[in-house]
Amino acid sequence: MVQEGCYTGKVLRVDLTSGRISSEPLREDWARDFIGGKGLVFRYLYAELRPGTDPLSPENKVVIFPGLLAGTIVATTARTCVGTRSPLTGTILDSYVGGGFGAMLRYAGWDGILIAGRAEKPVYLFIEDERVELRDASPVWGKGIWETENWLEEQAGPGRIVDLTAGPAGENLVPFACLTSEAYRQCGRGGLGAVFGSKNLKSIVVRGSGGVRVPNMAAFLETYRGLMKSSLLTEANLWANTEGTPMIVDPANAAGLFPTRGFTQGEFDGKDGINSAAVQAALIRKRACTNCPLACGRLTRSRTGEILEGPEYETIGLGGGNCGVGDLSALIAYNRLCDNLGLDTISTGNVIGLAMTMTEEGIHDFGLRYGDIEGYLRTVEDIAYRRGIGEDLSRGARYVARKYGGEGVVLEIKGLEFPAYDPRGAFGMGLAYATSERGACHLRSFVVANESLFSTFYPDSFQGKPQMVINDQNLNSVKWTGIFCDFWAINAQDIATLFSAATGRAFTAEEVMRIGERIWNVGRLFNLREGFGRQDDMPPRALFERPLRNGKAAGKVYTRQAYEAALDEYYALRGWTREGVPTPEKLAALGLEL
Amino acid sequence: MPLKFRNALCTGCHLCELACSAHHFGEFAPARARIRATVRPQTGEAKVMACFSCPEAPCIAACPTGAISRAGPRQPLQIDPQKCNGCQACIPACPYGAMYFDRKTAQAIACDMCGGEPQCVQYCYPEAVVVA
Repeated sequence: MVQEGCYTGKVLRVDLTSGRISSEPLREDWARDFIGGKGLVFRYLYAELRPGTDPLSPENKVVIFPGLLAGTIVATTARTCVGTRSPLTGTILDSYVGGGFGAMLRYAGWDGILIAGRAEKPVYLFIEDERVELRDASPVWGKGIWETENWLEEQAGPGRIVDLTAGPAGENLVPFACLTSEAYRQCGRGGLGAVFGSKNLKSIVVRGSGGVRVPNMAAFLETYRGLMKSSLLTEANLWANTEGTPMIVDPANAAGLFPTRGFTQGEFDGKDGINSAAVQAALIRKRACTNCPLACGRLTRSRTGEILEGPEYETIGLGGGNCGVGDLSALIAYNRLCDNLGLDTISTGNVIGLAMTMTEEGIHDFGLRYGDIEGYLRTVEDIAYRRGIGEDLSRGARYVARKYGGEGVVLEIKGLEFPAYDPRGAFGMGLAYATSERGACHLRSFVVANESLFSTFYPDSFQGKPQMVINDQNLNSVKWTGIFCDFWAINAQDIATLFSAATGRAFTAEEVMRIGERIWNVGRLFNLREGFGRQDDMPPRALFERPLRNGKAAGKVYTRQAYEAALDEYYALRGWTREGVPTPEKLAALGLEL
Repeated sequence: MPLKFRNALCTGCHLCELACSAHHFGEFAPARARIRATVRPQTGEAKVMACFSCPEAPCIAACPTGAISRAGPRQPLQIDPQKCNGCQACIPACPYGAMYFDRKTAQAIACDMCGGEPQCVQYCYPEAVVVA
């Protein structure tokens, strides 16, 4: 049993098929080598899933681990990592949610949860400290997120609970359905909602009355207060408090990489209706995740009085610019529909934008045009309920493109639709998307920040990018064992300092980075086992063939030769073969004997 | 000077609860905090509450063992652990819901202003909890 600071040493195992619930010790060796969050999720998934597991079968599992620091006073670390084999991509999937779920799980006495099987009828998992039960969820099956959450609160009685809930889109097995916590926070990407749906699992509800201890509280608090001053509450992060993510809209437009009209343009003429100033004008109040002073969330009100926490930058990009919508109230309506139905706003905005482009360019008529607000809002519901054009669109952009001849215009990698940074305006970001284990993702490496968004470093070249991308991927992999939020620009040394104070074990910056690299390689091994390889680390055709029509990056495309050379360099720097397979020497150096 | 709460500024981060429990019990445990934030996620409404030593202090009269006292009006409450028998009569007596029960020690707990330097105030970035 792991007895170090923070850990409870206990993992909850739930088999929905038999209804069996059990407690088992946290694997001490894995906790040492993989820490928490992403690390433990990847290690457990690699061990728990048989190769070739159908993502929507009872054999697929959901693995949940908060980070090492969950429940402590350290900012941003109440986050939770939820993993599975993705029904959208078939890759390993780690998806993160803010709010307070991770902290509450620790207070309830659990380091993590492993869920397998399929319940006969809709259920939810109720955890109150040692008491863990599968309860009937049929009264809320088919209900939206908010109504479900209100019902769960009533059932639980007085006292704070935190949930992780699937919406109707998840029940209907939409492969980009998300999981929601506390009304507006999501494990957004990769389809965890559908995996819950396939298991007849509506929600997980946690209430914990315990606490988290560290080896020396006074020393821990002193260390943390120092880092608050030197690292957390500094200019590098306080934008999150003053503006939140809408801050990115203007620089993204200036850099010419804002997703606009199905990724055909890089600068949106309607951006002033949905940028940070527009969001500020609709602001009601700020909202924080548990234990976070940054409070990047924004409660806003639309013209018609609808309240939302958001919209965040990604939603503004994909649900706004990419669909040609420059009206904040329409965007709030879109965001609310997605949130309540349990749809990822990024993938949803991508498939709708794609359908608009294919219609506009005469490839296939979906009856959707850029800026058609009524059609766009109707389509969100059609996707969640898989009806009308939603039947096709609900299968994701890759499916739509292949079925209707849109392979030349679609923007996805490994089946995951693009985030809101067009990589024609930041070439390194294309490499970051392509080498991400879960498909096109901006959170493994945010190289775009230095490349193009907030400073300039050869945005139209791969020069130096492979190493920059690798450094980010390794750092973020260990950052998400903490789990620190993306919005705290914390370095490896400060992570090591906090991990040491939390566990009593002496970490160094080098060791922390090695843990990150180890985790990254486990993700690679999982995907290789599922048949992924070099051929899947490729940007879509549009990046090579279709230049953007306006903005700073207009006219720029990748060449096959330059991209392949960058990928060769990336693999070589990683200690992988030309085919992208980690060498035995690299695995030995990382202490990986799976 | 007692605590003052500016609920419109509260972001619902619950950091006050952790600062409190860490100071008093040496662990991060919101269920053991003497200050509590209540948040409605759907609307973002948040409310923070701790004992602010109200003028009436009905908890004092409600305590059958005489465990609760204060040095003077608006001075922090003192709960004598020798006298508190965990009956919880003080909890419904508080009109503000600011008296809490710690299950681990089986005793009533209330804000004691950390002996003059309230830790919740130190960690409340939006300044929703301040010293009045």
